[in-house]
Amino acid sequence: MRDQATRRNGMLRRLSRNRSGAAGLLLVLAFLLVALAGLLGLTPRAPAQQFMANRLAAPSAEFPLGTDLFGRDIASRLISGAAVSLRVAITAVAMAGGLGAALGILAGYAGGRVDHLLMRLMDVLFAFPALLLALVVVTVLGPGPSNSALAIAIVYLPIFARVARGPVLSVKELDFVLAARCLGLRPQSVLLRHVLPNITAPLIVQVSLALSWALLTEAALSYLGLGTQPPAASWGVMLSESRPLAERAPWMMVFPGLAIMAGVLGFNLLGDGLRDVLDPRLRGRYAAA
Amino acid sequence: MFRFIVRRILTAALTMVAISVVAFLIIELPPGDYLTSYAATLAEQGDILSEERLEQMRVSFGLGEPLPTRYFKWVGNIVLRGNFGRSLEWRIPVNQIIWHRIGYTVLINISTILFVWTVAIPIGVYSATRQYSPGDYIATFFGFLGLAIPNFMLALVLMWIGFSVFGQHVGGLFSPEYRDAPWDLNKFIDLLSHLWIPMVVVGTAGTAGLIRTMRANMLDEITQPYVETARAKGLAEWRLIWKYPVRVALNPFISTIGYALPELVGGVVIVAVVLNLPTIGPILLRSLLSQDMFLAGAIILIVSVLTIIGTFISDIMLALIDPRIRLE
Repeated sequence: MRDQATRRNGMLRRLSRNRSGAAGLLLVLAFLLVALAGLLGLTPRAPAQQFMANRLAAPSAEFPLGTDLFGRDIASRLISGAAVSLRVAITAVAMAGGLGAALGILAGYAGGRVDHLLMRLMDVLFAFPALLLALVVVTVLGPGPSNSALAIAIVYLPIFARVARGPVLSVKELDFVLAARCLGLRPQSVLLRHVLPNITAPLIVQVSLALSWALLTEAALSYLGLGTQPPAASWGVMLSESRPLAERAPWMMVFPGLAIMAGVLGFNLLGDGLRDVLDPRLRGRYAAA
Repeated sequence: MFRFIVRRILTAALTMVAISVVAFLIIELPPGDYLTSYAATLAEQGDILSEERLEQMRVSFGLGEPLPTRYFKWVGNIVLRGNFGRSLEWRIPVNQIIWHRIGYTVLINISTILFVWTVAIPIGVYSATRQYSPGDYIATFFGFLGLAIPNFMLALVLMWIGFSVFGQHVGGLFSPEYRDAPWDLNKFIDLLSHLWIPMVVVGTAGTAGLIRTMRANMLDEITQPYVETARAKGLAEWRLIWKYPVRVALNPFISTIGYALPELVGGVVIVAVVLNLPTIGPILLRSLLSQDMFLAGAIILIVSVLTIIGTFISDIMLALIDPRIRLE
């Protein structure tokens, strides 16, 4: 137990020494903090409250990030939007990561026909351009945050399956796996106790990158009116509301835009840093995915 | 090599069949069909369709038949006659709606790919050969920034700058006076003056990603013994870099070229909505929302087939370059 704790500390220390990883970690922590405040409803004002006397007010001491067309406080809406983004992103990545990794491990370990069938299925999913697939899924299922989470999960499923399957192929040939099998361990114990711990590095990296893509996609879907529905606050919705007013009230566009950028950048940098720290051999791979 | 190509063709064909089924199921999935939503829209306007008329339309659109029959009819018409059916919403053949839009989409994508490659490869090479120099840091920083900026936001910002600084509307691909004009040199120049915005907007994320990949690949290559050998024999550094490691480092790009085109089609959807571009994306979005199933299905199918063809081409190119792949 103590051994594990020191190892984890070592990882954190190495991550904080990695410049981009440290920057990413800070951004992600800031995002999580803001999102947590949003989840708990800790906003300076109610995000939907309209101050009609202060419509389209520029940033000031009273409204630090300004107000929108209905006099709603942009700072409060950003905070509550962070919670929406986080919820969608985490739901999506948990679904995609859990199922995708399970399928990938199964395919890699079973090999043969199972592998072939599963991976061809994943190839079919992968053949659809990512954002297009997400769009199609959301329009078919109907707009809303939970459906956009599902859409994002479906898009990311084949990527997790591939990332999990690759290392399983090499790990399953190693002696300790053979030894575990010779000892008569059931396949599920071999997979969970001996294979899974040895393929977590690329999966963790992928989780971070997937979160960044999920944030971006949630914003894009909401922008198009397919994700979170107004009047609920979401960064994408706020951006799309800012569009006709961009010349009169640029702060309506700038702050949600910056928020999306910071969140996406954070998870991206963190994923990159984790990759360097966890497995230097992985550097540069999956970068295009 | 021959066996490899045959096997690849077979896989590609099988994937295409699978995708056509998925595309068909997708357009069949929503509850109700086009007529239900059509009738609902009319009812909202206070117009009630008679049962008789509905039934008549259902028969003429072939909506009453069982699922497999409709699938084979749909695919059969496409394969045998190149007929993608009629758009239910626009009431003209799908072919008339999509092909010129696909033309513009391909135009934007190809110019974007050219933009991305001409910008990203030199920067990636520079970053790797001058690792940890100020230039490398700047490139890396902008690389990450480019990845993180949502492209539709970049589009908004550019439109805003275009309007407030230059006082011009930058949306669309043509100025109003050229939109319906026949092709001539002036129209072409007008197109070029509009094309750079989607090119930059769509290409930024790709450029950023490519710079990082190029840098990582180059870093792996320039420490290899063959580079040392070339240096030892006295080759000028600049020629050496471009002649050997760059070519090897470019290798992985070939495998992503297959995804590049359709990925851009997807990525362009939102930008196209924002910038009001006459591409395939906005039409797809609209057809999906109005359950215009033949139109939506046709677009999904075409885009996916483009992906398969792209992947196929890149597989063949990779096999030509790398004997380990074709002998696998």
